[in-house]
Amino acid sequence: MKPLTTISRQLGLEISEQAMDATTEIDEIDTDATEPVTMPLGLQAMIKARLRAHDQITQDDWPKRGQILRLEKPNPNQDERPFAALLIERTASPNVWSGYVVAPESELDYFAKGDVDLEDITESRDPLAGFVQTWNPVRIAIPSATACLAWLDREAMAYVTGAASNAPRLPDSARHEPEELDAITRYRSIYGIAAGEWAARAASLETQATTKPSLIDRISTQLANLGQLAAIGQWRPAVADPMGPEADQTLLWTLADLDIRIDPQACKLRKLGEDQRPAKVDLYLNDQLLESHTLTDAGDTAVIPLSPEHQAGKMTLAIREPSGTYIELRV
Amino acid sequence: MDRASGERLVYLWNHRDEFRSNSEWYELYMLTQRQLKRCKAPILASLPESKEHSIDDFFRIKAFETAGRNSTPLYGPRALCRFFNNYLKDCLRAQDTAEITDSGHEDTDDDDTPFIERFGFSPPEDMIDPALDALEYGITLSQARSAARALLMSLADWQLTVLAQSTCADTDDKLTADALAKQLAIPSANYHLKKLGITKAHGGGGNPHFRECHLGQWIAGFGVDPVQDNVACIHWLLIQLCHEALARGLGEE
Repeated sequence: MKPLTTISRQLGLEISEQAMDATTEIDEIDTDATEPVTMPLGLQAMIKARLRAHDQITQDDWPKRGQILRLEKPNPNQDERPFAALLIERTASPNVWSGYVVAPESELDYFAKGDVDLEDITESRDPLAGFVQTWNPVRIAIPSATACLAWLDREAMAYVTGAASNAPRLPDSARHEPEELDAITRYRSIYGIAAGEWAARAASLETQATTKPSLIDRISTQLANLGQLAAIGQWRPAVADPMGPEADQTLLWTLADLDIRIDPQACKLRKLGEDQRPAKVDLYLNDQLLESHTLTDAGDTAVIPLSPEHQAGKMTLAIREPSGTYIELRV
Repeated sequence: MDRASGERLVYLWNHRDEFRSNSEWYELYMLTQRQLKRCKAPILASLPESKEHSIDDFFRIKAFETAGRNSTPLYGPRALCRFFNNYLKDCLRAQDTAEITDSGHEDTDDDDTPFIERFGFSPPEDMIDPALDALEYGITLSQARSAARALLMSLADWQLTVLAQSTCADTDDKLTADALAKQLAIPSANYHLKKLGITKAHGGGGNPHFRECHLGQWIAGFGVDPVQDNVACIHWLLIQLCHEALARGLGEE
């Protein structure tokens, strides 16, 4: 049986002791590197199941009812083990679903009343989708999903929801020895806490959905998606503000030959002059060109006001820097 | 480990969430084994498991189950030794936590358990000719063997191995079903053996849930209620199952 300490740690519930890169003195001893290696049958079966599931389950079409999604916390140092959940229905927020926690196959020793063994109701699934904890409802933040581990059909879903309607919070004492029951109860408590943490994450997403993000937040999100440009060195944060003291909420970036400063009131661009060709900046409001600027020489500057009236509409900033790199920011 | 192998290990570890073939997983497993066998792991002395077993568990938990976009990256082959030692520390801490006794431990030491007791039934008080009991149910030998073959076909490879090399085997040096399943790195071996119906504590005529396990259903499929009262016929059916399991298990080796 998998140790409970390991399970709770892997669920990120004891974060301080979690990091895998602790400094341990390691010495090496010699062994025969040519010794043949045989993979145990259990591992072979799990790998086979994962590969088959990946081949048979569509990966680019979630969220949908009946899918079991793998969820990952954004910070790799915070958590190792992915968390999985079965989607039941969407909540008022498009990015949040209600569902049940799904535990991995390797924890089936803790299976008890209120759990549904997925082996009994679906053919193709990743081993991380072992059993549904119908006693453990959870709210799921869809942006945390990274893979679809299984997709239950209508019949399987009916089975799960039927089991959920009778699910107890505690396992059936008739089926387990007292000490076994005690371990299962503690196991359920660990997963109950983990579900609560994920529900809190989803709740914060629901709150965000009802509040329009600020201009700077919206642009920051788009800038974060320009990783490809960053990778080739064209798009990077400015080291220092070349255009004066910065406000509290100011984004400073360099796009090849352009310095860009965006604050809640205006977007200011300045040509650095390393490239002889001109740069062009257009502001569109509701798909209509509102203003256009061409920056020809070093030091040429364009200041585009971002008024609240403008921000109420569909505003797009189109920037083409001298070497031809083009980006559009939805303001 | 030579430099090229070390670099390959790091590459594979960091890209394991993208694996789409058995061969990539096997290569990572092989390189992980080779690297970890070279590492000193003093904590192992305080743990009941062998180094080989611990490496297999480490690979399943830290390489296979956590393979994802946000998994901790590996920066060099020696760092894997640190990962392994940290994993062993986790195991050591977990050992201090009160754990339930695996049901498999209950039948760990009794290699001489009479055949029917391996399935959780008490031996019949009077068993003159079990085949006669079977005939009373209208079950012939060929029917029983044929049904046994069908059941075995539906089992996973490891389940057949456990039946052939442990539960059904009559050798002196065999491992218990639980120990063998663990050696084969079957996660949640206790649950799977219980589901199959070959753990002493959870199988058998004294347990009403035996009807729900694979063997209980297989026996019920003959019209025989899988309870202690019918132990003579059940004994005979299980012998036929084991006959086929041994034939298949040995044939496949």
